[in-house]
Amino acid sequence: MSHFTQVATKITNKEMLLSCLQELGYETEEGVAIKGYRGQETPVDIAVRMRQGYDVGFALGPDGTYSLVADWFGVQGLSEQQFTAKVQQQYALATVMQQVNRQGFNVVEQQQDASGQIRLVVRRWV
Amino acid sequence: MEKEELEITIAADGKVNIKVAGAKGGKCLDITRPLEEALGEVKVREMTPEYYQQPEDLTKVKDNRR
Repeated sequence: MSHFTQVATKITNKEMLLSCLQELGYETEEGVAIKGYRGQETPVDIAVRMRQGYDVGFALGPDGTYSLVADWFGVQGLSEQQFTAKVQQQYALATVMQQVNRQGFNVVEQQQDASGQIRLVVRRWV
Repeated sequence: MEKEELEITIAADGKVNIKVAGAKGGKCLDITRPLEEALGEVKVREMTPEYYQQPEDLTKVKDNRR
């Protein structure tokens, strides 16, 4: 064993984010505004259509990362934390898969435990 | 041929942990760096005893760098 690394995922790749949202079953729209309290509108780079209540969106910040924008008071069905966690995990998984494939690793194990944690084992011969 | 293995866990909140097995010396950092860069920010990095072992074949290490 050589080292452990803990990485906090940053959402920087738009295409990857869009495909993750789709994977999670959300409809997205680009370059529109989302509505909040009293019909106030906020422009976002990616709008995510929620089944009920207000929509949520992602805005690209000056540091090149996408952050979530929403009037959570009016978003129904799930909390900010739940939604953020779902998207972050999906994005991290997709990024990891793409990167290990590029580096010539094969996935030999993939499982998800009761807490929702995904464990992957990848292997290559050099 | 040497086996290199990564154990990657992705927590329910998206935090990623990467454990490297099989790679000796600084080589293991070359393996995880592209992954770390694609994901974002490294929070913690801990070296395990194998890091301080020299690889047997130095040319192999060189070949592995991008």
